[in-house]
Amino acid sequence: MTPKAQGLEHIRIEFRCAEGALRRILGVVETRGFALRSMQMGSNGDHAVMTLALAPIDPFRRAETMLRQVARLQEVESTIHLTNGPPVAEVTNVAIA
Amino acid sequence: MNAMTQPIPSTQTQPATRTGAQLVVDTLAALGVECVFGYPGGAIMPVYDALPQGQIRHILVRHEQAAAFAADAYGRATGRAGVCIATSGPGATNLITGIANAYLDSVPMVAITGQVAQPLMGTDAFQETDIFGMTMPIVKHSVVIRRPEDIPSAFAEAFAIAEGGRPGPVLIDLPKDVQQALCEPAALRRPAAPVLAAPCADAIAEAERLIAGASRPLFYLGGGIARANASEMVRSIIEESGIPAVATLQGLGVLQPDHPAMLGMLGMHGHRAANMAVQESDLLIVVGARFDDRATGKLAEFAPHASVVHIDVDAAELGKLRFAHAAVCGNLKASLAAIDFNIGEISAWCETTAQTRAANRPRYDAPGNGIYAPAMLKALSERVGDDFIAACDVGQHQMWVAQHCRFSRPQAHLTSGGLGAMGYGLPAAIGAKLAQPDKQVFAICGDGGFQMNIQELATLRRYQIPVKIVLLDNAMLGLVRQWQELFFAGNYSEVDLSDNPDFVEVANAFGIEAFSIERREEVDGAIDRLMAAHGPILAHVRIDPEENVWPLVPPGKSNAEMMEK
Repeated sequence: MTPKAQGLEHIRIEFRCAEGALRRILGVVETRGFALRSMQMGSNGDHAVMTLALAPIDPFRRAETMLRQVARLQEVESTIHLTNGPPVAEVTNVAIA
Repeated sequence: MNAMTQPIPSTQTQPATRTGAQLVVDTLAALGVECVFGYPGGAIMPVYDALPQGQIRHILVRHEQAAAFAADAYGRATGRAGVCIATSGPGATNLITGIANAYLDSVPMVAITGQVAQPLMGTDAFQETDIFGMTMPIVKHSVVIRRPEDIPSAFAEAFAIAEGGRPGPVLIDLPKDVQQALCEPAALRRPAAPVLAAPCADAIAEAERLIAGASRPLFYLGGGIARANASEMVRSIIEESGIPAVATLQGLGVLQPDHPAMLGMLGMHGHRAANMAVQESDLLIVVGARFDDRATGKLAEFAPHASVVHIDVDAAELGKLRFAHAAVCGNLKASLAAIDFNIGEISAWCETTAQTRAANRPRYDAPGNGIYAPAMLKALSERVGDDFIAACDVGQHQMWVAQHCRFSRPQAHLTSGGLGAMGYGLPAAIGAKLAQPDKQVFAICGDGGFQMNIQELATLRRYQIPVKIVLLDNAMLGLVRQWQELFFAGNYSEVDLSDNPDFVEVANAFGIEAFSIERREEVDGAIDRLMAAHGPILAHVRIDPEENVWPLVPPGKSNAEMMEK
């Protein structure tokens, strides 16, 4: 496994709160080849923000491709690839109050 | 989201309040749905109670999977979402294969499932399954409707999502108490069609630069062209530019097989001329295709000399499997219209590809007196002409249809491409015939797949749907047998179907006219009889169990390593 595969990818997803939205998003992330290592989420009941730390299951998985697949979901409002991987807690502090 | 408001059609006799189930029927009608495929059961009974009060035609299939496949074909043929209905639990889970089929081939579909009443949800109630959760990976979107007043807007949104952008299936789960509850009908708010961003100017410019500089350009045509209804535009571009083209399984029909630029299907069972052109090309112009592994073979060795212009409505497909030097995202028609296909000198390339095609034309002079399925399928499609629609199962016959039939348009070739679901052919033919009653619709089935939805002969009989079935019977699971012959040292494991029933007797028992042929000289008469039939008919065609599909790219190999007969 390459060094990149061993490193974590950090992504931030903003989405509309709807039944099943969280399951749906996490399902795409896992199905498309990323194992969930940590997750933080905040919500005001209408909108939510979550930050995920992910480990690609092989060296060929690219976060950009997966994020475009997440972005296709109807509830998803924005996706950001946090290339430098800030600490999860720091990111979730900017979640919707 | 912008919305237009349209009141649900009402009559003077309609009460001020409606049940959720009545609203379902009202809303489907208001959305223009004319025909649905389904099977009733406990948790969807209120909807079935309301159905006869509306104007929607319901086709009672004999298995929910067939409802989903029929709705899929209806969607492929019309471009509008096909609708299937099932009850909760086993009814819903029986839809799953059909939903997955629609998802993998980007087909517009709305699947409606009954659900146990909300107080029972999550209690392991009778016929309760979490169909909403089960189908998440295979739907474009899904929703559980919790209040009857949400039905009109949720249905309108479901259809808009299913049909918009890259089409796909949407699941609506309807708890029984929501179907039974009364509410005031609200105005139907149709979501405006999503406005797709114009293709990026930089990507267009890069595409044009690559096209202008290419000496061996090649179009790679996919199923997205049919979904975008862009076949005419693609044909026009190819005719003006002269750029040769190959097609995926789903892209067949954009160009006729005898079109001078058409090199055939690429991939595992592709034509040699198509696969060789891909390997030699210096520019692939990929339109509505997704580099499926059955098309690319060993991806690392696919089109090794080519830059890629990738045009697709779905941004997630761009660069997913193959880097795109120019990634053009947007509506296919708008993207194609924006690109100037100003090509340089490519006459030598065109001549080379044409020569390869000419040197590798399929042969139809198989030895013996038995029926050679490729020849029969070619003759059938050519005899029927532009009205020919074929719905296939999966296996050897599916590949022969793809290789040898002539399709006037991609929507005429109904095949389970991404999922590869046996049993698709007969119910898909039912859906296609109901969608396009003026066309000649054939179910081209193998003996394995046919028996996976054989019960739909009863549906044909009940509604007298004039589908013509060509059942190619080699008494084998032919493609599995072929792989066992070639890649498993001839260890034929569980592929023998020699104890098949007498299919003519079976069809007759369902009330379907049927006949059997096994000699080559019987083919023309059989085609005549099929074409002349006014009702459903089955031609049982015995073929050689040892016939193989050629060419074949072995799994994991480059498309350059084609095995020939």
